[in-house]
Amino acid sequence: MNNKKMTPGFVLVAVTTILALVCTFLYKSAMIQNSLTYVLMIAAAVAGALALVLAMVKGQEIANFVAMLHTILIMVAIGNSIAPMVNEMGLVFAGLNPTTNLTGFLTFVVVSCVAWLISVIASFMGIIKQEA
Amino acid sequence: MKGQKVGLKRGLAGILASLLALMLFVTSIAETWTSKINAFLGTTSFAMEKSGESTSDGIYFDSEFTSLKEVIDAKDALAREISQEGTVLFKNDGALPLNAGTDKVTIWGLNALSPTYGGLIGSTISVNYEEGQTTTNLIDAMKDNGFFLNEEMLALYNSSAADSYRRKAAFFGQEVPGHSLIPVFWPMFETADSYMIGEPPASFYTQDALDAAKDSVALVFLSRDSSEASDYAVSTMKDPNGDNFERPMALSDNEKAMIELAKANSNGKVIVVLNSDVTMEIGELKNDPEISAIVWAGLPGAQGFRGVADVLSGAVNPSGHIADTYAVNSTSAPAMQNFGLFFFDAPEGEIDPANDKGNWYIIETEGIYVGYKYYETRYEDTVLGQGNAASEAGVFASNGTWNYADEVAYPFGYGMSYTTFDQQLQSVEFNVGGESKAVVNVTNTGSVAGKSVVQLYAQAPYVEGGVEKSAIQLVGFGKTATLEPGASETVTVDFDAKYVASYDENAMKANGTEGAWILDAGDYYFAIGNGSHEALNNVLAAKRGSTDGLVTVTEDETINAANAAKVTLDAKDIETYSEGVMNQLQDGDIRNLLPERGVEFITRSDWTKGWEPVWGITPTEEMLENLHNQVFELTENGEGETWGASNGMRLIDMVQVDDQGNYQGSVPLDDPMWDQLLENVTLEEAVNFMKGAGGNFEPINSIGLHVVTAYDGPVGFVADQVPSYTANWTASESDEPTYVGPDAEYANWQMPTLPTEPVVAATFNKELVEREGELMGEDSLWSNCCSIFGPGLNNHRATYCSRNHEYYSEDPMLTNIMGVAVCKGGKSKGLMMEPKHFALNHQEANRSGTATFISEQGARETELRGFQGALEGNYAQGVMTAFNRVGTVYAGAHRGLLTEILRNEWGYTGYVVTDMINGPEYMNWRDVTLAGGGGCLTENAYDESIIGDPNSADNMKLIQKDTSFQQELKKMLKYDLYTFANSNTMNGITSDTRVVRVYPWWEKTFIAIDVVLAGLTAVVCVMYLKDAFKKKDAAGKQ
Repeated sequence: MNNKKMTPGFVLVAVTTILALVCTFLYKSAMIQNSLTYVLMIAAAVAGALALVLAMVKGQEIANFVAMLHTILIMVAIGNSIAPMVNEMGLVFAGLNPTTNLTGFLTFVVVSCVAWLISVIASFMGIIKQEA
Repeated sequence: MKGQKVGLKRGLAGILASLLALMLFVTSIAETWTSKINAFLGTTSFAMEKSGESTSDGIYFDSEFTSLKEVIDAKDALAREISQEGTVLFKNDGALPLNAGTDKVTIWGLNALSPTYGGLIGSTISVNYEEGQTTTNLIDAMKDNGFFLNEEMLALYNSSAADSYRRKAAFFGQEVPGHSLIPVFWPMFETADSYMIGEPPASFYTQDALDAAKDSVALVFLSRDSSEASDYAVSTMKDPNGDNFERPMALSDNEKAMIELAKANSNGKVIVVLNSDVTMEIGELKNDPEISAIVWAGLPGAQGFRGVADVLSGAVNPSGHIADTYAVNSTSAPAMQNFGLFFFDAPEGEIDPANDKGNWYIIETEGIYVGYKYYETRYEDTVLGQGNAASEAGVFASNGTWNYADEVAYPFGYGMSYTTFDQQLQSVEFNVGGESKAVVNVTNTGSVAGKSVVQLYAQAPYVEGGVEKSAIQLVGFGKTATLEPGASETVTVDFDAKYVASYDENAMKANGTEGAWILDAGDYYFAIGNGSHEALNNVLAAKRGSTDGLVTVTEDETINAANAAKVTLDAKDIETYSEGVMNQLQDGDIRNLLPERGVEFITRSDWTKGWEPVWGITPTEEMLENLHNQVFELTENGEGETWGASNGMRLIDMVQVDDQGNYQGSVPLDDPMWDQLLENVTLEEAVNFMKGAGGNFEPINSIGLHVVTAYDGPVGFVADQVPSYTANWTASESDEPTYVGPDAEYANWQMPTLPTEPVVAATFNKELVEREGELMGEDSLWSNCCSIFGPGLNNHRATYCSRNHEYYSEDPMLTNIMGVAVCKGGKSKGLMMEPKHFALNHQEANRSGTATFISEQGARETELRGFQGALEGNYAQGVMTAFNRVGTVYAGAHRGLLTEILRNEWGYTGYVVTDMINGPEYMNWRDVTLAGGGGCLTENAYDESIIGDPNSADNMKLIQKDTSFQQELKKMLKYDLYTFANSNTMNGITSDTRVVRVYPWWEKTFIAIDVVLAGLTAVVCVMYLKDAFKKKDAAGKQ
């Protein structure tokens, strides 16, 4: 019989899941456009939550795998936000009025990068261990 | 241990997959910015390869020069010549010209050290100092002309004591000397509050400097700067250094104090030089007997002060005439009453300033009465005692009732010489529907050789209460060669009777349409004169048979009834110039949109009307729809157009060469070959081209169109876009005769060095301006830049618009003729000149989306007339639309303006492009394309914005169903490609040329990183999954 043992990674993914949710709100409030990033960040949060549930219910490597997908999805969301970010910066450097809340947008970038870094650590740790 | 290994691989897989995703995004974004990255790094993604089958050299437009040095020298010489002929002498009691041998000169004015050479941004004058390129201020120019200057005063100005007074605008983190205005790109809800004059107070001047000035000529330098994206504010601006002025155009306390010091510490000669393209208030200098002379230099470019010095020294006799009225009070024009920040009074939340870009407006209640057309017309009505002209309404400088002599310092078109000329009007032929001309005999009756400008004006008969008509309007001009004393020349001034006609919005034509160019029955007067006022006085003298009650305001003016000729039209004509013409801009007239508001316009029938600023208008539902940018929609219609046909035709096949190999332009626009060519283009290519059709046109590989380059601006290719002659060349083009490699001599010279438009206009010399166009064309050939966003052809509606330096004049006919000349010159070298900003771009404050309300007569007779010559004659091959709205519809999406007037009435065949997409909400590609507004200047603004990128899957689906949209796309492409085929963009391309995609080092690096990351990710993922499954199996077995 295997025993499930939650690692500190479990806590970290819980944190990054919450951060991903926070990021969706940050993004929504900063940008009225580029809904794909919003969707991707929600998907990242869902993946994080799913990993936590799987860890508790199934306790298999699948939970760790989903946690890794959570990590990747956060970065995909960040990546998808680069194009509008570049455009916004282009407007600013051209002396034009940015179409978004630039502070909110940058906060989104910072928070989501922090979430990604934490989730990477969690990926190394794994969120659950199987002990004999 | 095994668990740790799995964790390591899982973590690595997560990082690598994340980095791969990130890099793919970065690579994709870099692809969309390819042209800009290439421009920055000096790389290219396209190269032209030739198989060698063609015997043509592919050079369709060739340079007249054999080296870049010759081009640069020619430009500098031309700049000096333009400035020589564009410098205007307002006043001279004999102090000028100076004598370099005997006159010691003291330069007064800190601004003389760092004058304003040009405006900021699109027409920034720039030179590459590091390479040895120079600007020349008046001080250096005077020294070079042999003058001995008061070094004591210059040392004082150069000392640290002057530092805090020096003008410098903070612009993108840099301090720009010679400027105080700061461009503002975002919405303004309050008028600007700061303008630094840049002159120190009287206490700054040391006794040593004053003593040293005592035996010298005082050369007093007064300056006002100019900038895009900025306006002067009449009442709110204060000098941050504590200087005081009533208005920014009025002399400040420090300037007045300096002038007093100059008068007290000179040899009695006090000469004022005006370095300004906006009209300063100089009435008090004009009337001051201690001011010996006033010289207008304008903003003369990098080398133009040499020309000014030539005039001061007498090396050149001045022949410039001012292109704007110099009013005593700079706010006295009717247009100034509705200039600045006006906001809609819409229900709260109805207009979102950030997204609608539709919260602000101006109402041009002055109608046709812009500049001298107001002052002179009111003057005539004052003389004739009609229309309440001599009332108190609109009085700014008069004592009591309105009086021309008190309101105007120097009239439009005025200018003096060191000699005297006698001009005699010999004959006038006024042929409606035919060619018209006036013949004038000019004799130099003085003792100095010089050139003389012949200005021809017209007066159409005015019926009180009828169509508004200016009492006088410029219809043409000519300039003599240099006439020696006693010498004569006969000057023929050709003009077009259509420009004498007035636009009557209520005229009903035989075909039942409303709106026509009319020539009323009655007496038409044609007169010559040194400016608009002298010409009108000549008309009035002829009309009334007397000079009683006529006033002159300048020392050179005469009144001579013989210099006016009368031509009588027996019947009213409303058809000759009205073919295909009908009202198109009625939606721009606030009186039609909001009749209940009762907005009054200036009218000759009662000069007391139209002076009230129109604040807080409340838009109707229909106006709000437009302000919300709901103009057009994409719909499902028709069967679709043919795209991507692969019939083998390419753009080079449209180019015609005769048997001797001489370039013959392209096949005609109506040739079916164009349709076959267009069928080859894919819809994706067409859409991609449309969204980036201006700030470097996107290539179309299917027809062999390489990147076509286009850059700002009105005084030459602006340095922040084309930093050098070599920047736009690639090695694959090195066999072209005008190729400039990175190591070539003068390769890093910068191009925007020429005088600004008002100086050019003041030359009244068409040949000189055409030469300017030719040399801009030479810059095009030697820099490999095919299209230029210039000249500016908007009119000077209000002097407080600080972008007037990009436009020629307050007069549309002078603008029209200058526009034709410069575009003709550019076209002869294959340069696609792109006049801007079409149309009604009259203020820079809140320029994005400003709703400009104007009468159709006002629009057609002022602003549009300025553009008409260059566009109707197809001398200009491109035109840039404006930021503002016409009424409530974005100018770049106004079908009446762009399709009906521009294409159908004028027959314009060049391309149309928007200005920089400075608000995709209202400058959206859908409305632009469907209105016939051509392409969009900047491509990157549409990413996921409100309307979305046209290339997005959703929008492409809509476009694929909308045949009307596709047809407009094809029209746009046809005009663009036709223009390219008739330009120097075809240079270097022959029938065997293939445009091939190459990958510069940075693209290769991106691809390599992507590939490596993908490989590593795949390997680590496989290892991780393998271990994970092993672990699972092991766990299952246990």
